[in-house]
Amino acid sequence: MKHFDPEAFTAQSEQSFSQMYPALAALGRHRPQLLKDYERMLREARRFRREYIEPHALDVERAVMHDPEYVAEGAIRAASEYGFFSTMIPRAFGGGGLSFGAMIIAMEELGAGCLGLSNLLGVHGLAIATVSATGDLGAMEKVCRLLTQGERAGRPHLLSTAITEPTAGTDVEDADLLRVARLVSEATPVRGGYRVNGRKVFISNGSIAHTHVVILPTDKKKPVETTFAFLIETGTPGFRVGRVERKMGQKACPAAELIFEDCFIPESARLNSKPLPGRAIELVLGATRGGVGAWGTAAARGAFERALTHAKTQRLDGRFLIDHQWVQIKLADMQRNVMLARASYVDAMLSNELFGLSLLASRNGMSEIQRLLPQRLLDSAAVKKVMTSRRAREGFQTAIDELADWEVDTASAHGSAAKVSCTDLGMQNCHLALEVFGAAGLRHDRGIEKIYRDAKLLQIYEGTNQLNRIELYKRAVNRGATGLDLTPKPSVAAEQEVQP
Amino acid sequence: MSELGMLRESVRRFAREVVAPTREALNHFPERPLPAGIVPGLGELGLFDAEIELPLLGVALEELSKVAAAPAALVLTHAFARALVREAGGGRSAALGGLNGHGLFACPIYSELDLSDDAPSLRRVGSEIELDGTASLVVGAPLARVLVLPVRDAGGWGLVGLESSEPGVSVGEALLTLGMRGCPSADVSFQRARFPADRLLATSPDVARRVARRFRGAAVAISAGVLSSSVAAATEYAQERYQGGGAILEHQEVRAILGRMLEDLALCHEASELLSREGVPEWRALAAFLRAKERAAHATCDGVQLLGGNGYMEDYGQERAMRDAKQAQFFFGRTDVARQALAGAVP
Repeated sequence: MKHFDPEAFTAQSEQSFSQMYPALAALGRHRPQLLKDYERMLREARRFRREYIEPHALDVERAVMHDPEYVAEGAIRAASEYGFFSTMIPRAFGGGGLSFGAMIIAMEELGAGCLGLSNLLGVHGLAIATVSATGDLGAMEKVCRLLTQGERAGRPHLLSTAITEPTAGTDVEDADLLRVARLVSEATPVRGGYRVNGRKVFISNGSIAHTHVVILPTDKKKPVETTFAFLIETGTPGFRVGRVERKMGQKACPAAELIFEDCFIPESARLNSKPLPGRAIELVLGATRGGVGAWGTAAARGAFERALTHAKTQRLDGRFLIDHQWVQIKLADMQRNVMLARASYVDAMLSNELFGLSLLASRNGMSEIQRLLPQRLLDSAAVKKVMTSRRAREGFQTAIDELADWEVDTASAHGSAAKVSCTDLGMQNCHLALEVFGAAGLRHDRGIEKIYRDAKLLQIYEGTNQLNRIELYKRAVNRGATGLDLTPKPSVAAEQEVQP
Repeated sequence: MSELGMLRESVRRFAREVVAPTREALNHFPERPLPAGIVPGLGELGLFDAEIELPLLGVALEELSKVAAAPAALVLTHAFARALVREAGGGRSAALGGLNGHGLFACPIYSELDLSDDAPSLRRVGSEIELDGTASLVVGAPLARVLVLPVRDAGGWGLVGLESSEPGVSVGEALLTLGMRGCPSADVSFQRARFPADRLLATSPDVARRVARRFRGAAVAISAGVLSSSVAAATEYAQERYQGGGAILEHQEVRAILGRMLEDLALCHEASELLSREGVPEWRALAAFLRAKERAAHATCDGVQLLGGNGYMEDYGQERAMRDAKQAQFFFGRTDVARQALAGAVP
């Protein structure tokens, strides 16, 4: 790894106003419509949480415990009626046309009700973000239309994103690590397309999705140079779902193994883009890690809200819990953690709007044009032709290329900072809430122990919190550092092995 | 071989040969039935005997918890509830079949037993007592012969001992809990049910406090056993898992996490040792007890983290350790409530 770099350090100490204060900088680009969208999503999500998520969350979990392959069809149908699967899809592709940020706000609200169900609905965000970051607008149009048409019919076309491999979890989340990863999956070029072999694991919604965005190298010896996104349909010969994992929590969202054995896919299945490792992946993760931050906040909030209700209604030593000073301090700490977490992910969300993937969607007034044009016109063949044209795709790719390094770094840094901070605060609140509950909190039917189990996954997926700290180091502490010397020889003292 | 050594060996063998193959079923209780051989096996080892000494019990519980903590929690609860009855002078009660009778004892061991806010209420009616309300999360209740429960006695405190088969006692369905899933718990309800007055065993919460003090070492042994298994699994994984160009044990951050887990394991063992000694000042004993349970709960979260996605899945046992250690933190009640007492125990 590049060691301390005085030049980078100077650049760091001279951060621009907007890098330091993305939330304040966003005021300069204040769009009243954006705030209206955020507020609308909050209202809708709150209604859905109250009407569907909270009444069903514990029952769904018990059903999955009984049968790991149980699918929360009711939640999927209900969410379809609310349009949650298509909220962030551009209107030109048949969706709600709201920003990624609006979806993230919804995820906090839904996640405070149930992180598993929220993940079941929100994991699309990762798939859509990945497809959009390739700049292949034709593929984007195809995927989005399938999704929105299915949603209108009450049967949303579900998506999954398959990145993790049995032998490479952290390694596939970072371009530097990808160079030394031991990959087992590959899409080997053959006449007319590719032959896919390998396995992907822990794929959220993998067992129920209809289309899978599968990240694969065409030469696993050169993964950085040859990794692309492929769209693979469920039912493609040679592709099958393996085991559905038995997880500690977030049980409403199945995690499955995807197995590819001589699975032929046509050339058109490969999304048309530059290799993904590098800027495209950074843009996606910069956006989605902020989303995981919203879920961390949701965990913190769900734990806090339940502890508060418990404290108001249960007694200890003759007094209501809430009348004990130690409980009041704990509740205040929990509220503070919610506030801190929310501030962190909102910074990440706005960094993404100002410098990251969402900026691309709004650049050149595309968002405004879509908002103003009537849907009838947006659905017309002429608009479709323009939106999926080679020129539009090249324009999108140029926009990605034209982003300055510091812009991408800023969005990535805020995404990683939010992911680590919010998810750690989420777990912290679970510990605090369980302490307020006492023995009652150990019971499944009180709902708090479920949040404790659910929240732990947030510190792991979308890059472990350890990897995200390294990412933060590279994007904000020592910008420009390349190569990761993660395995320095342990010191002599550390070599003295200890047997427990 | 010493008595302690022999017990350790026989418990290890039982854990390896009988408990380990049933771990998955234990982990899925109450969705799946309890494996049949566990409770009789624990009995054959003598772990339900009244005569077992606490240091021996601690060793047995730690060894069991290295494989599965749920059977250990059942043994601890039985021994503790039985000691409560003896301490309260109810050991000669013919109504309870005497302490030497067969069958398990149950009690709400995760609650502050000297408090009774959410306990059933007790009313004296002539030569009888009347119970009304629900005792929540009574550990061992679905299997137990004797239920030992705190009650609210006209604003005060009481301890009752009842046969679970007595008319008026209603044991609910086995509850799903965060951890210790093969150790069945249930609510026990009464609807103005009347019992002979000798079922009221004590009216001073000091009984519960004294017995809980004696059993701290045994409770910490469970945390130590669970954390010990988590450290072992994390170490093995870190040696074998390749990531970032080498075994993850070579990563400094992984070594730091593992190092902290070992610090916490050492702390648990030190607490066990301290709590087995006579004459330790109360503040030191309570501090060691609280710290060890709390650190084990946090360290087992790191055990999951160290295995990443694999740690979150059932296959590696880390998620079970995380749930069990957190539940073990609640033996005899909340850490923060006990801390209030600790502040008052300063010499």
